[in-house]
Amino acid sequence: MSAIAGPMEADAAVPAEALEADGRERRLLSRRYRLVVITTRVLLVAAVLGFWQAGSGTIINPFWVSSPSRIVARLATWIGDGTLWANTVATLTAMALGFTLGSLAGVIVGFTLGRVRFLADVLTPFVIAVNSLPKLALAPLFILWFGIGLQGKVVMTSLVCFFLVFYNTFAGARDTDDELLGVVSLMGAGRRDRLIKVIIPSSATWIFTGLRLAVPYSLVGAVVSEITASSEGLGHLLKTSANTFDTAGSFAAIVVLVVVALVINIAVSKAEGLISRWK
Amino acid sequence: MNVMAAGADSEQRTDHPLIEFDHVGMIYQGARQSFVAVDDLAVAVPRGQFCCVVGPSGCGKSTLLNMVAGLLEPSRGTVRYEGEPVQGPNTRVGYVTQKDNLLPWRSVRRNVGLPLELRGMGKRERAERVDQMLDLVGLAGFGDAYPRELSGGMRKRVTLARTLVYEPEVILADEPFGALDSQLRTVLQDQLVRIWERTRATVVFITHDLGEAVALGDRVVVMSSRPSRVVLDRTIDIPRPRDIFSVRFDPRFAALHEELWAALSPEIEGRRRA
Repeated sequence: MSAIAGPMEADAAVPAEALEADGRERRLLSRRYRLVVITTRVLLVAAVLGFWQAGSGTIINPFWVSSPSRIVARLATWIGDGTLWANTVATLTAMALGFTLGSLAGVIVGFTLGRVRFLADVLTPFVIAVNSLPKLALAPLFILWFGIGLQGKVVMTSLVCFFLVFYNTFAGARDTDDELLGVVSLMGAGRRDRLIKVIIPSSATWIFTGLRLAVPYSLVGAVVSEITASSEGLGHLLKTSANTFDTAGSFAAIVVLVVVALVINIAVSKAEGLISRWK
Repeated sequence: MNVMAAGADSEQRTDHPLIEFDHVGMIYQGARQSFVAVDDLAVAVPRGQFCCVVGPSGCGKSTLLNMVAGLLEPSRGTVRYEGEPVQGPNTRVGYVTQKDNLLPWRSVRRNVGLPLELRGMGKRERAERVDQMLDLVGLAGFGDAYPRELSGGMRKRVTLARTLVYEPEVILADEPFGALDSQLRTVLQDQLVRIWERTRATVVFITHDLGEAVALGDRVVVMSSRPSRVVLDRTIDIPRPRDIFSVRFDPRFAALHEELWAALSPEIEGRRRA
């Protein structure tokens, strides 16, 4: 009992210092906790990889599952002969072009439809119809039209991005609060002021949401076109490996895709944090 | 005295009252039924008057302000501003809406500066006026905060500052102090009265607080429950300058409060029974 009372009294006597010490202790604790979490993660990955490595060739035929060492060896080969770099660049190029073109078109069309009521009323059912179509199903058609080179991939990717960005921009442009617009008009805002100072910034969060969604989907769009038919790219690498029963190559391509997707997602969340400070 | 006042009036004013509701009606068309929010309202507000409007909630008081602002068209009758029917946004009025209507992506300072910015005032002068105004409403030091980071009462004060900062000819205020605690409310009422006594803008001030209406206004209009009519239109003859902190102890204050309450309470009772 007195052991408990002791520190409490000390607490009351020097609250600031005690609090500070408490905070330091908590920080220390949280650092230790984080360390435990990270260690567990590393151990988990090591266990899975170890089990995979050990099981491959003993429990299950490596033809189906390959093994971590073979995958690493394959990655090393690809890095050495330039395969990895060339295909990654091909995919990223398709992604970047598709994302840029699709998003730009999405913002422009979304904004126009969002602010011109007549157009919105006429076109909304068609937009919904086209949007409910799984866009990836169009990949074969686009390849027929635009070929297996960069063009077909860019069209596919931009279509996927277009709809994501368009939808959000459209919603954002319509979402602008009419009362807010009214009040700003009373302060003397003309059409241009309302657009620049109210409608665009208020849609911006929506547009960013669309863009954030579109980034990972641009990777999906590019890779799916490559898998369908193409002459280069990570999807192409994955498909040719699988088609030649090369599991090590398939896994290696997937590993590269995971890394690319991770890097992109981290970059997007960093960019988002910088942009919307006011949220 | 009266003759003199009338003479002074005709010098600077036209024959028209600044704001005039000429037999105005407002009918809202609902999905299943329409209801009459305002019915045959005839009120005129002369230039420079501080006119308070009280009434049961939902009696269409905000509708009146929206019509003066030109954000809403009456279903019947005409709302006139300086004798001309109001058509489209009336840029001569400043409107403190019930909702704070701040731009969430702008800092407090940039929100308050918005009307000045829209009027093309230079950056330096703008900053000076904004800081002065923030100081006045007790928000000095919060200029760089974003609306989301503020409490409801603070946001309300930002809205008030944003309207007062450009000194519009008319200030429409829709329960601007409703969400504030009573001490802060008194302080801001005091600030508003001081600013008003200096600028003599025309004010239409909606409140549900009878005491506030008597303390601030030159006149109190009591509205009925829906459909809204004027139940009582009373001049508040407490002399100015008024001290908000002591006006409540003025014997006239109690008498007026009582008279207004007698007019208002049946409306509230009626609503409760209905």
